[in-house]
Order: sequence, then C-alpha cells, then structure tokens
Amino acid sequence: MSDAPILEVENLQKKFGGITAVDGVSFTLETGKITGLIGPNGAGKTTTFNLISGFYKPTGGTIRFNGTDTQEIMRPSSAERSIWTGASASSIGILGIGAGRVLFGASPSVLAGGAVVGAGAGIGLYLGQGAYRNRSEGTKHSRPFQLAQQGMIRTFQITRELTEMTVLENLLLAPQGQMGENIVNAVVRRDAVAEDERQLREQTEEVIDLLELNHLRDEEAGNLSGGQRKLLELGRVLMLEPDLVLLDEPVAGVNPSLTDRIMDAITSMRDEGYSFCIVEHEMDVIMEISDRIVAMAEGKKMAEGPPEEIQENQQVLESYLGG
Amino acid sequence: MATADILVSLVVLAMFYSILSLGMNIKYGHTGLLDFGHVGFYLIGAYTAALLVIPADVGGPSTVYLFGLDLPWVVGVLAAMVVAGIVGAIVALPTIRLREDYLAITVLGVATIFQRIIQAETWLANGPDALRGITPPLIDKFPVDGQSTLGLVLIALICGTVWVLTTLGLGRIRETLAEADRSVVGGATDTLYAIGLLGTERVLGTERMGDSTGENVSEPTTIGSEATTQFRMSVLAGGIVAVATAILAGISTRGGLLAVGTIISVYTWLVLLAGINSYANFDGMDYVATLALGTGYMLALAPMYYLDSLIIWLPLTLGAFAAVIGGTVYLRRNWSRFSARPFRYGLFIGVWFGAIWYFPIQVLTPLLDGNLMSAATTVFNNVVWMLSFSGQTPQVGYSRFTLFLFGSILLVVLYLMELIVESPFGRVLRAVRNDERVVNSLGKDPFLYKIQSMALGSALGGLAGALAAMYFQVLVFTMFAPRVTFIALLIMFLGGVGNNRAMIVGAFLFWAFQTATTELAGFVATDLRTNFQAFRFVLMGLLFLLILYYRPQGLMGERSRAEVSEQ
Repeated sequence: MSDAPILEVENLQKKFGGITAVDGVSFTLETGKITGLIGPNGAGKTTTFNLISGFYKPTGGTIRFNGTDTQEIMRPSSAERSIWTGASASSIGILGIGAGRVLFGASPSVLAGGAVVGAGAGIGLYLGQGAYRNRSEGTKHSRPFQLAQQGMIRTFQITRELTEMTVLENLLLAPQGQMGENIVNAVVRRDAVAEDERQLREQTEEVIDLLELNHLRDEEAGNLSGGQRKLLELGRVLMLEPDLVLLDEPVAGVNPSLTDRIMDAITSMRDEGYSFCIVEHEMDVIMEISDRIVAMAEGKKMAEGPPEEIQENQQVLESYLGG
Repeated sequence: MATADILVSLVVLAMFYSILSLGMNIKYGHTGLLDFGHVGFYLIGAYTAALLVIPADVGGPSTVYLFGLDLPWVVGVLAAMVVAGIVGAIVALPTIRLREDYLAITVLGVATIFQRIIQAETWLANGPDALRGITPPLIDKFPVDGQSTLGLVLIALICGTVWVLTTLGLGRIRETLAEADRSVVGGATDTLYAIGLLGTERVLGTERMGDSTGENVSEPTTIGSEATTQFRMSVLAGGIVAVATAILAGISTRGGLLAVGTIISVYTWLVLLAGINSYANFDGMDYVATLALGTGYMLALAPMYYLDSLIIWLPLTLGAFAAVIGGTVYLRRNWSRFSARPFRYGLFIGVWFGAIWYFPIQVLTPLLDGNLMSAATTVFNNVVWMLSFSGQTPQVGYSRFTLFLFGSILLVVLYLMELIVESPFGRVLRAVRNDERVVNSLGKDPFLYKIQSMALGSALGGLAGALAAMYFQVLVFTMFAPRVTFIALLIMFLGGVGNNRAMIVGAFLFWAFQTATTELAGFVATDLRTNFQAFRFVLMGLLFLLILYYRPQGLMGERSRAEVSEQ
C-alpha cells in the first residue's frame, strides 16, 4: 500500500436552496485505514457521503479519489456526447424535412435542405443546452456508476436491497463487467456466459458462507430483517473488491451479536487492504473500530484525529450532549 | 366459416398480440418502464413493413404512398423490427430520465404524434384512407393440396412444425407432472409422449428419458441439456412426420392428406387434453361441477337465441345470468373445493363454456332437424382443424399457414426473451426495476440498460406490427389508437407481469373473450349489434379493474423465485 491518501476532500460545499448542508469541509481518508465520520443529526455526514460517491453535485470544493478529481472521473466520454449530438441532429433533421415540405413543397432539394438545416439546428440546440447548463450549474456531473467502476463503493443509510430479488441474485448482481450483462453475449455466447456465471456463483457462495446467510439464499431480500439487510449490503460490497468502501450506518438497528459480526468482517477486510469510511451513531462501535475520526457539526468539520483524542475533545462532547 | 376457422383466427390473433405484449413486458414487467406509447412502435413496424413489401403502384391514382419497394417479407419484417427498435431508442433518449407516470404520459404523446402524422400526411401512407394492397407471403399459392410439389412442401412444413410444437408442449406437460410428483410412469401422458416422439428417443439420449426430469439442477446454465435433448427429439419426430406427410399426400390427396390431417389434429387435441388435465389436477367431482356451471352460463344465453323480442329476452337472459353468477359466487364462498382453487375453477368454467360452444352448439340445428349426416360432418370438420374442405377434397388453407408462420415466430421470440431475461442482462433489468440507485452505486449505468430495454421492447412491438400488416392486409390509422397499448397492458396484467409465458396465456384469454362476445353479438338483432360490441369494452374495463383489485400479480404471477434459482 502506498502512503498517498485514497481520498482527499478539500473545502467541500453543498447548498440546498438557502440551507448550507456542508460548509467547507476538508479531510483525507488514508489508504488501508478505517475512518469514522461522526456528528449529531443534521451535521451533514450523509450529504458528504452523497457528494463523495457522486450522487450529489457539489456546490464548491474538490474531491480527489486516488489523486484524480472525481468530477474528471465522472465526465461523460466523448463517444457518449457524440451519440447525444447525433440523436438530437437526426430527430430535428426529420422535423426539418417535415417543415421544408410543409413550407416549400416536396421537391428533393427542399427535403435535403430541410434535413441539413434541421440537423444543424439539432446540433446547435444540443450544444446550446449544454452551454446553458454549464452556465447555470457549472460543469458538474453526477454519474456515480463511473466512480463505482473506479473502485469506490457505497452503501445506503436506509438499506437499498433489491426487494423483489433473492439474496443470491442481489449478490450476483454486484460484480462489474459481467460478460452476460451484454445483451448480445447473453444470446450468442451462452456457454461462455454460463461459465462466467458459474465462477461468480462460487464467489457468491463464499460471501454467503462468510456472512452466514446460507439459510436465506433463496429468500427475497424484501423479507429480510433490518440487520440481515445490512449484512446483505455489506455482502454486495464484498463481491466487488473495491479500493474504498463508504458505509452509511452499517450497524444502525442491528442487534449486538450481529453488530460484532459486521464489525469483524470490516476489520478483517481492512487488514486485507481495503479502505473504509464509516458514518455511525453508535459511539462505542465507531470509537472501537476506527483508526481515525472526523467529527462534524452543522456542516463544518469540528475535529479530526485518533479516537482517543476525539473522545477527550470538549467541543465534540458538548455537541453530542447538546450542552 | 367453419368453427375451426374461428378458432384458428383466434389463435393467430392471440399470437401476434402475445408478441406485442412480450415487448410491453420487457419494458414494464422486467425494467419497470411504463410505456403508454407502445402502440407507436407497433404502428412504425406495421407501416415500415407495408411500405417495403408493397408494389410501387397498387390501387390506382387514389392511393398515394411514399414508396413501395416490393421487397420480400423477410426484409420487411426485419426492417420493421430494426426501425421500431431505433425509433424506440431515440424516443427513449430524452424521455427515459422521467419517472414512471411522467414517462408514460410523454410516450403516450409520442405515439399520438405518430398516429396523427399517418393521418395527416397524405403522401406518406395514403393519409386518413386505408393503405391497401399488402399481399401476405405465398398467399397466391393457397389453398394447397397434394397436387403440386410446392403444395406438398408447404403441407409437409406445416404438419411437421405443428408436430414439433405439440410434442414440445407435451414434453413440458410431462416435466410439470414429474415436478409435482404426479406422473404415473407408463400412464396416458407417457404413452402419448412415446407415440409423439415416434421412437426418436432410441436414437437420441435414451438415458434422459424416464425419471431424471424431476432432479434439481443447480448449475447456472440457461437452458438445461435435458431441454436440448427433448428439443432434438421433437424436431426429429417432426421431420419424420413432415416426410411421411409429403409421401402420403403425394400418393393420394383424398386419402393420404385426409389421414395425416386427421392424425395430427387428433394428436393436438389429445395433447391439449393432457395439458388441461395436468394443469387442473381435478378429480371427477371438480370436472362435473365446472361442467355444470359452464353449461349454466351457456343455457343462460338461450333466451337471447330463441326469443326475438328484446323486451322478453333481455330480462330473461339477465335474470338467468344473475342466477348463475349468484350460484357461482355462492359455491365460491361455501364449497371448500371451489374456494381452495377459485381461479382454476373459474378458468375451467370458461373452458367448458368454450367446449360446449365448439362441439354441441354447432350441431344443434342439424340435430334438431334430424340431419345426422350434416351434424357428423360438422363435428368431423371441427375436430380435423388442420384441414379445410372444398367439397369433398381436403386442403390446407392460408389461415393454417399463417398459424404455422406466426406460431414459429412466437416460439423463437419467446425462446430468445427467456434467454435474455434469465441472463445477467435480465438480472440488471430487474434490478433497475427495483431500485436504480443501487444499480448506479454498483457501477452499472441504469440509463444504458433502460435504453436497451426500450429498444428491445419496441423492436418486438415493431415485429407485432409487421405481422399485423401481414394478417390484416389493410392498414388504417385508426388501428393504432392508444386502445392497442391498453389491450397489451391488459394482456400483461391478465397473464402476470414479468412472466414471458404468461403473455401467451393472457393474449389467448383476451382473444377468447373477444371471440366469445363477437359470436354472441351474432345472436342479437342487427341494430343492437354495435351497441353490444361497444358494451364489451365496458366489460373489458370491468375485467381489468377486477384483476388489478383481486389479483394484481396476474393469473400466472411472476416467475417464482425458486424457479429462477434452480436454473
């Protein structure tokens, strides 16, 4: 593991209308460490998570993941932009043909002219709306899947398991770049897809064993208890082998023995070299597991340091006790 | 028109509506995209195929259209799919970011625009007037008998395909029985299957026969090797039947074709019976009870048929219906057999109703007149549905060819859709339906999958459109009203959202209802007929409401999760 931090947050800002949810927060997440993010309700922890993982567009500040600006990672590829431009040009081009015909009659030159003018207008329209969006929102992107492809995976505070799919399917879904996710492969190269699927199935069984979810393998995720759902979300992360894992309240509402199991899973993953950032309200849990703590209050960073130091910090104690 | 023809046209309609609903099911059932504009892609498919296959000048100067390329149907159908798919993707690009109901409304708008363009632009496809002159493939060769080589080839092809499909169906029935541990080894179904395979299991994979069917295979292969062997055996048997048909029909049209047609028809009836029996799992008592109720409904219609005066028959019929419905509801509440399986009972009342209509009712008049010969002929004609008769000569009419063609296409489409749905691609689609944010957080672009789903579903809509052009031979813009979308939705909810096979069941039930009410309208005085046919839309709306209220998962429900994990 290198010493470079896996994630650097610099002067991060997010406003919702008049409310500033995150107000100039800066911190770093170290590679191969567990960082706890704590703070009273409304401190902006979950918003920070959503900003880091790309679900929200930041109002200001930068986030660097493995040294690259996440906005850079989330930029749409030029191929994608040209598809949009092409679709816009062809649609408006057809309208141009129609308009040409209505206004000047149906001669070939009029139709061709209409098509060209329409296509031009289509391209102009697409570029124009892009420019307008840049003016009003800045060149910010929100494309979390591209961050996930780079190895940053998050879980959700209110678990978002796929309720109509089984535990097994929930886990099988997770790995990236599956061959059978391409519709052509799914039909044409069935043997290779089945082989791919067999390997995935083995990996999934390992994860199911690790989380002791065996008896629930074919149960629909919607029928699981709250704690089991938390486990399932963690299982999805385990299927992915990400560089950085963002866990939003992984043990909220989970009974103590299950909490211990989840925490054990997290520490053993940390020892294997994964980096974690965890939001959690259970003080005992977070203090025990974290290598470092970032404390937030009212959208600002209050303190940063090792758990022992934070536990002594008067400001942090006051904000928690409402004093 | 013989009653068998009505049945065949019902099945043909059900087939291309199945394909339309399969498209809808990909969009809504699997991906959760509520597309109220599905008919727009049906329209695009129909007109694309029509303009590609129609000759350049048909119907004189009064018929105007953009171009007529006179291309073969294969090109027309494929182009219809491609164009509808591309248009589907382009329509999806700006609209798909919207959530369910907003998406539904915008796409409904797009479909209406398509319809209005066809109506208003007279140069495109004859504007508000019908586009005529669409000639279905090979129609000029029909009806065929054993006299010409082409006729023999076509008959052999049709008979062979019917045999393959029927045998495949029978194989599935056997599997279902085996899974439910209800198979009697050496029972009637097994015997029928052995006959249907014509001994091909001796050549291909004998060890697969027998009791291995029920075993749980936890391998994640998409289609098991068991199914492949069955498929090979059925195809081989079908090939044998095709060759035998060609030889027999070649030797003698009167005798040979008649014999083959009878055997194949009887075989399909037997398999149908086996299927019904396997699905029902009824004993004698259940059959008698459902038969009694079915007969009750049929009898309730009698006043309508025999009495001319509306003032007399209407209250009588309504009263009789009220009595039978009341009786049904009473049994449903108070009889444990019925209340344990209400839907199966309901379905069987319908099946008996149809059976009574198909056999006894058709021969009622000749029997009452004492014309036994005529009655026997009618029954025979209805049993031997494969053949139509021109005088004494048996022949295969064009509607049977359509049945064969549409049936093959439907089977291929269904097979491909099952492959796609069961693949990891299908898994991502279901995940998108469940929760897009999860898909997003796992590094998969939901947008990309939704576009593909829209393109695929629209392409199927386009395919259904091309088949509609082939079937109706005339296209008018009014055929593409939003109503069609809602019929596809109704079929989907009737069968079971997210279940491909249920689309076929739903489409069949829907068209059975349509046919029944059309036949019923024949009894009513002419001036009332239009009212009657309008009224059935009211009935259909009611039916839709009842299904959504009492059985939102549809008759067959979504594919069970256990089934998914087994495959």
